[in-house]
Amino acid sequence: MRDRVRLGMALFLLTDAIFFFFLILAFIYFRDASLHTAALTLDLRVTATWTACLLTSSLSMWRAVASPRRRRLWLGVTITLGVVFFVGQGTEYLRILRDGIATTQGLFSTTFFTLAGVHGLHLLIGIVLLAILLMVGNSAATGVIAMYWYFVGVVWIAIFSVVYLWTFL
Amino acid sequence: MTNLLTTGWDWEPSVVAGCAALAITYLAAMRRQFSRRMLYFFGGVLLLLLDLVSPIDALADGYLFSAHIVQHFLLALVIPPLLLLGLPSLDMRLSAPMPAFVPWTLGVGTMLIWHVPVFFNAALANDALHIFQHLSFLATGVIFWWPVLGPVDSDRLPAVVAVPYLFAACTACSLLGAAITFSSPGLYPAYLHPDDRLGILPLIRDGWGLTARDDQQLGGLLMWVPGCFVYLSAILATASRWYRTAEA
Repeated sequence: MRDRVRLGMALFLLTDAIFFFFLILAFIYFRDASLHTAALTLDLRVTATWTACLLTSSLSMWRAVASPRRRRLWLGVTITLGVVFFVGQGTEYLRILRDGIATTQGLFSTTFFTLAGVHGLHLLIGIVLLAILLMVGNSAATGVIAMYWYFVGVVWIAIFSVVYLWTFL
Repeated sequence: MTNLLTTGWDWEPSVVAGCAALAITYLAAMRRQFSRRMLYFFGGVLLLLLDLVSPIDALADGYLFSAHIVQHFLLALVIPPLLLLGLPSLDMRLSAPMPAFVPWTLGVGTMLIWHVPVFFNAALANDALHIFQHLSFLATGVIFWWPVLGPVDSDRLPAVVAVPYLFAACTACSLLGAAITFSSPGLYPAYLHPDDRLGILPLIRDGWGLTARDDQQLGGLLMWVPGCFVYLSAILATASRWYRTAEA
């Protein structure tokens, strides 16, 4: 039964990966036209800090799966780090919007906010799932939700590399 | 064209010696017992030799980015699977299996990092670094494919892990290919105005109609489409093996 649930999650994540693939592809396709705005708008250092939080949360999630006795503690750490990333990046997006880069203005804002917004939504769903897991205490579901959480982290590595690192390095 | 095919060969002694050493070691280990597996292994060795001494190498080093991508594609995605398929299956466990993210990160990370323009251009300008680049593609290629096609059954990933493992690599490779394809020409400046040592630049530009822009786009597409095709083939093979096991 557990294998079936894992397979179901794996198949969902494969389709979701294709969805993200095309969003990232759209950003890459329009990158040349939006590079100047991206370089002026994005803040690599701030986002790198929040990225470190999200990547660390994958490690704490792994600990939650690997050590059932301290599962609740590590789930709490994972949720906290996820919320820190969500609030941190959310504040960063608000700063960009306040700078006058609205979602309907130009290629950069459209492709960037679509990508960032869809990832943010995935992250929010992940935080809710982890919170439910913490309250309900179903240890069997931990591994499956961990797959989702790792996926959110891996997708962010791709977004961070393409949108941020490629712009500044 | 004739000039390219006749003068474009570079029988670099270290490459020839390395390929010969691979073949001799394999023959000695197999104790001259011929089997179909040998075809895979020697196919891999022959392809390795051709990849590094044939006109592909001459084009890759001095003229065409797309030829360089073909070279890297063979080194990382075609030759390692052939070498691994040529090894006899082993029942013993050589070591504790690595977590899947380690070979994945090594294989895909090598592919991504070496195509970042600053590293790629540095390797083009420095022979020692270029050799290291090729060796790293081959070595990390073998490490990447080991959990999928390696000879130790206990080291192989279960299908439910192997498929996402390959799919994620395919996605990363595609994004890299797309990034190169859609970028302005000049990511790798050496190919904008090649030093025409073999006198074949008019053939490339006028005869084949390959401008620097076309060349870069072709290179990106080669990484994107045929690269993904290799991963997709491995996914289909893994899924097929899984279904057979499930039925048994």
